[in-house]
Amino acid sequence: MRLLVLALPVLLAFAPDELDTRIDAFAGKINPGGDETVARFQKAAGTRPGKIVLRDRFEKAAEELRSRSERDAVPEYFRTFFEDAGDVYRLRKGQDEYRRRLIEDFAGCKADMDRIRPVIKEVADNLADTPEINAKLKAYLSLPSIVEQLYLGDLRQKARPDIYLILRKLGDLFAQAEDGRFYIPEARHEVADRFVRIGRALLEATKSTSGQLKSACDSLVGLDDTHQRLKAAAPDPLFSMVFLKPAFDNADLNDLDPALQKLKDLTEELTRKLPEVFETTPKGKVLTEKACDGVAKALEKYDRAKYKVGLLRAPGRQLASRLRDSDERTETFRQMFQSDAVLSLLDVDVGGEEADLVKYVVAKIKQAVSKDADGKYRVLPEVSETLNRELKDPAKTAAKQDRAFKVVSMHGDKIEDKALREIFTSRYGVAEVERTMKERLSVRSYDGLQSWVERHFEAAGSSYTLRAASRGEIDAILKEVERLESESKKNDLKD
Amino acid sequence: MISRTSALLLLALLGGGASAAPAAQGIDPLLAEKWEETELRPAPLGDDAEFLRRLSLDLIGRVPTIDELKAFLAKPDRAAKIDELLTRPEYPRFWSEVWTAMLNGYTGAFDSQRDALRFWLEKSFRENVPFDRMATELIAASGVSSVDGAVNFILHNSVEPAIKVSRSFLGIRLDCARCHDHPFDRWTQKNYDDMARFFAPLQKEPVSAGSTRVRDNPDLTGGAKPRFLTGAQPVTSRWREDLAYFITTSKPFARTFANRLWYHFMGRGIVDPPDDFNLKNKPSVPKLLDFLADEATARNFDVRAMVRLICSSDAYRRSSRHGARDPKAEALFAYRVLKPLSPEQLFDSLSSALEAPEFRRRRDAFIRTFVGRSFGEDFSNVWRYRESVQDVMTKLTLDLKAPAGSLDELYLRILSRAPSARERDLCRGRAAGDVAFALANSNEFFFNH
Repeated sequence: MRLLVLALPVLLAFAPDELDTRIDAFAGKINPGGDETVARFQKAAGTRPGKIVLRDRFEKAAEELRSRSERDAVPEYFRTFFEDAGDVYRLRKGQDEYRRRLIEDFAGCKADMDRIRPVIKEVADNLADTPEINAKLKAYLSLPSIVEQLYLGDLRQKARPDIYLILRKLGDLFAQAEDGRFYIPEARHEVADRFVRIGRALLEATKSTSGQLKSACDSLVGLDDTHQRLKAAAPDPLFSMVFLKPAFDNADLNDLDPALQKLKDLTEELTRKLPEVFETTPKGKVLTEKACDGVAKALEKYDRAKYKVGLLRAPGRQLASRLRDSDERTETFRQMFQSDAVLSLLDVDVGGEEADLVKYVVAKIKQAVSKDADGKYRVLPEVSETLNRELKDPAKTAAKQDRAFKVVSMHGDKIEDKALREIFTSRYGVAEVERTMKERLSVRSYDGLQSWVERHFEAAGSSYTLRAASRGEIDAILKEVERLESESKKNDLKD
Repeated sequence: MISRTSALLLLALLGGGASAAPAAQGIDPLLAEKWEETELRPAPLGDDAEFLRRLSLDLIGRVPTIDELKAFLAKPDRAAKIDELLTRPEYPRFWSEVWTAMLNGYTGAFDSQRDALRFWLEKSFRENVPFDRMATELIAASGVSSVDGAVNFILHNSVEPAIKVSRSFLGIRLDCARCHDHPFDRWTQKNYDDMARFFAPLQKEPVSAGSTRVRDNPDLTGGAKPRFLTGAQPVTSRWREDLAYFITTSKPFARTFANRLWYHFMGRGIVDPPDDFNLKNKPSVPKLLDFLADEATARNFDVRAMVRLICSSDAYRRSSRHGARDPKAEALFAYRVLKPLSPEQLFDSLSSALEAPEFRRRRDAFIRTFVGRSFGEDFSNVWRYRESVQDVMTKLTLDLKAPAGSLDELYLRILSRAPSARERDLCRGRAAGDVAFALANSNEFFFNH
């Protein structure tokens, strides 16, 4: 299985400078032992053409390692978590948390898929046969694994977002180190500082606003549902965000002053208007009649925000715990990722206004097809062309996915644990293997220099001697260096 | 015709001030020789205040502060000042902005990260990485756009990288040869195709939102081998690496590098425009170009060494005061060409002159508005009001507070000179804020002269 699309920017290769230094160090340790060819090679390694030719060799060696690693990705996954006990794979000791997490997540995803299955089936069963695009969509939606394909490919991210969803929202701010933790590359510090400005202003504003709301609602009478909900919501910084979030509508990251000024204005406006919302009764405060509708709407927004933030809370905390550095900038991000108020600002699309997964799927379907008077669904003319493009060869895509499914299932079948066996003989299992290995491979570096040197030189103490079988390789390199030098002598334009 | 000796004597009389560093010996005699040949009389040398304003703008991207100006006028050691400015953090910062604009313009394309490229350039200038190495890394870069800054040059220009690479590092325009043989120059369509093939293996893969991995995919190298403009062909499978080697060891590279630096400081290239060396656009002072290119090669493309060489010459100090515009005298650097300030220079100069660090937050917005009219603007709604550069400046200076101090100090801060008697008369009775507003919006402030 090729796992080429990497999750996040990572430093896979050695910087040119560093590699040149390593080449020099290696060349310095070569022991020619009176061999003129090796001595020439040693000298050539110190020149620029020599380094170019060697870097080419090392790149090829690294590519071989990378390909091997990708080919071995599936067995490696199972080796990591299971012990091969002959006929069966047995879960390794200390992997109970892994098992618990997988079983819990699998159950959740399965439940999600079972909820959307009838929706998809209903559309597939009732799609018209003509014009052609309808038949094409029908064939696609009737694929046996269509629900799994749609859910695991896209919908899952919305229903059960992971850290990558948050990272994608932040653009390319973070890179992943080889140990899997995340850091902000120096080149991104300036942009990161703009996010930090927003974060700090927001944490401060919501802290102060929620404090005010709490004090204002302390003596609120539980007159009805709206009053009771308001009293419960008031201390929550996320509730403050209902009023403060508009400050960031259409905000420009390159020019934050207007947005931050608006945040300040909204905070002050809330402080100013808060007393006008209440009237006093002998039993305590109640909302004025005029304020009731507005508060009810704010509480509805709050509920929707709570749902969305609820989905992001776990990945937010996970991300906070996976930040590598502890400088002031990173610490602010750590705080931000654990703040409901900040997470709500990320405005992650977990179904837009349709926070429920089924409603979201229905809304998406309505964007593509309409149900006519005869009870048949037909593709809307405005999306017909796009859809036709996207459904280029559904059978081919399905066949590719089936192959991956069969490969993973062959391993899954051997699992002793019944619950885990069920997981790894399902499409969910394929997605789990792909996701884990993608992340793992994306942060792995491949040392082409070391691989090449080990293949062609023998280490003897602190020096290297050429292996007899590698003389041809050294000769070839020297020839290439000579040719490169000779080509570079053509160094001017002909008049 | 005056004799060469007389010309040199005249130069010495007009020049005055501290003598040029030994390395500059080549520049000034070569220009003097040319002036003698063409019977040109050069402008006198500028004074120390002019020198400092010019140098500060060229090296650190802003006018000198009043304290810097006073200190320099008290001890006008030009060589020491050049060295001092080269060690300031503002030098790599400003030069990275200039080179980022030159390499990638002001807009992003193909998810290229302008900031990441600028940061990489800043680091390279700060560490004084030899320019041939910088060019190699830019041409042959592989990696992820958000992490590996250099990769953003190729990524940004990935539609026709051969064109941008040739312009930037060889001063050669292959644009015409994309579709047909060049009508005025030696380049044929085949030359372009041969050169373009160096970039055939270039592959872009999305990594995350807004971030792209650039690498060479050997599977995309089908067809004939590429060929560099000198005729050289690659040997390894990493064609861009081989190309970078051919380019940076070629003579056109040394000439273009030298000419580009000269252009930065003098406002005009020895070949001008600096990215258009062609058979019909010959150098105005060929010996000077050869001298500078040889110096660049001998100094291993050490940028700071070249900066010292040019800035310590009398040529760099030549006054911009001259009668009517004279294209011939301009081309032979007999007087200093006026250079409009870049948006970065304008903003930083104003911010520094008025001691208004709070301006800093508005810098990005200012630069975007400043260049927005000409870059990537949508002209479908032509009746919409658009801010002019003047509007942008006026808006920025409207709410400024004039720093405390005398009229002389205000002039020194903004224009790096004291007011003339007439200006004193004109300013009498005016509020400091009004004077500062007028000076900050004057042509004298807008230009590096």
